[in-house]
Amino acid sequence: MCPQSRALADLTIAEAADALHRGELTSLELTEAVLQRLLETEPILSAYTCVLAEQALDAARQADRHGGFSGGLRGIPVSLKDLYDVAGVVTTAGSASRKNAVATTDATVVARLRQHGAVITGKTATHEFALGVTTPAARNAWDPARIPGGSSGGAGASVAAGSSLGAFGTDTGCSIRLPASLNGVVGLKPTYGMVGRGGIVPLSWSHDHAGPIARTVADCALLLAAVAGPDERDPASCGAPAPAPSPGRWQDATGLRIGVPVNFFFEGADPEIETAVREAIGTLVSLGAKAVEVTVPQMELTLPVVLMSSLVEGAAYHRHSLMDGGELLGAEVRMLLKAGALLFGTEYTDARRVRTMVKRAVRAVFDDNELDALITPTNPIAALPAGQELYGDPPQPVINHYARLCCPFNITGQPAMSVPCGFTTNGLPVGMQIIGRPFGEETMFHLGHAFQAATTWHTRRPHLPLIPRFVLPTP
Amino acid sequence: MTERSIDVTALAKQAGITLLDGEREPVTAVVSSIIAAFGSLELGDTPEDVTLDPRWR
Repeated sequence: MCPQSRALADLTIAEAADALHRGELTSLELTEAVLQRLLETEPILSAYTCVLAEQALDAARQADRHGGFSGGLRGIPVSLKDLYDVAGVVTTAGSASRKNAVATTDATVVARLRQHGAVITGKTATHEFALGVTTPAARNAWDPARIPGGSSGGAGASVAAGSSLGAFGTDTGCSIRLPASLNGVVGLKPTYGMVGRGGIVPLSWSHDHAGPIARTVADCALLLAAVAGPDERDPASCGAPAPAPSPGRWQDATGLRIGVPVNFFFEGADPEIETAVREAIGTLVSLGAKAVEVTVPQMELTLPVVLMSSLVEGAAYHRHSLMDGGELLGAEVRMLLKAGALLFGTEYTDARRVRTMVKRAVRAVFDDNELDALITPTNPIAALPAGQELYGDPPQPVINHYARLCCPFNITGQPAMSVPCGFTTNGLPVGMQIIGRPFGEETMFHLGHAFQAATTWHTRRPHLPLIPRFVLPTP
Repeated sequence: MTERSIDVTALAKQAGITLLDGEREPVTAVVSSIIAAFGSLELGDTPEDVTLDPRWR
């Protein structure tokens, strides 16, 4: 389809890059269209905490002058979760306690995006210090009365709405994959250590991952390729490169073995979500994949491990603030961090021993069954109404539901990706989680892209009422 | 086995942290629930995961 026949803000990154390369589009036109969409949708979504409109337009003009649109990200509008440092801009981390925290240098990911000519549109809303799954400041692009998920909620809503073509978030227990799933877009948590976290405000060094959100698997592959690699500012950086984006080679799933869990991952799932994910598995099988039923042990232990690490490591990072009373922190995060400060070293060490058990168990499942990937729902329930804090019978904090199926792979460090695979009857997106072997991103891209080439879920766009008059939040 | 009780007010004092009005009960609930999740585990000689290395070697 000729890109001019569709709203420019609805293009995928690959489509926009292709149009730029052919000279059918300028980065300035594209960036203006995305900023216009942002103006129209922000009164409803509040996906952004800070819009860098002038800098974005300057970067777009520079990209047009520089030319050389030979692929990659040159001239492509991309947003950043407000945990990433951008030199000269406040990194709020969603907290009033950081309202004066102006970054002096770019985060490693931001520097790489600039090197690739990407256009930074601004910073997106996060649950305070990434410690939560609802992102109260922002709303879901498919139903603004509902949560966008979190903690990268603004990133997911922004990509779904077209106020950025791609976004970067962070994921400690589900925080890229969940907002991607709840907003009907793709979210990738790469293998631990593949994307450097230098210049990103941490929650839990053991489990934090940085990664992209975009409308398609192929776009996530482009974004990952631009930012992966060594980061001397991140002790966990492993220096491994990302696979070269090769969607032409990812057309079917012939020969790939996918594991379908018979325990834990479908338990308690909304029947509509289970049906959508099982139908997606059927699609992968029709594309040549071999599905194998598997049991994945130790999964009930994973949420306590991730909560323990997040609270204890988060409390260490915020210790001085907590000892000063922590009164600038929001009530929820302050309470959780104080709890983290009071947990015991013995239990924290036990959590790290459980990590060993979980990694061994998951590895055995992959090796014994010769799996290329595991397929699960991303989340067991769709987006809840904004403000709802408990769910289920007996009621539990919503984080217990939303992080449950994602967090095992923050422990193992495996790559995991949410791909849209359907909608509930009330129009809310459903996500399928594809989990690969460590550094198995290419196999995940292969499965995900083949699925998207055979389905149309990712082509649907939310129908937001557009409100043209709005004052941008600026630095 | 000695029954374990958690006094978050005392722990907070040792940690140099002040619990504000209304925080004692939710902090107790969070600390107790996490400790309970690990309390009955049989970890045997499973070592701590110290490397965080995701590679399966």
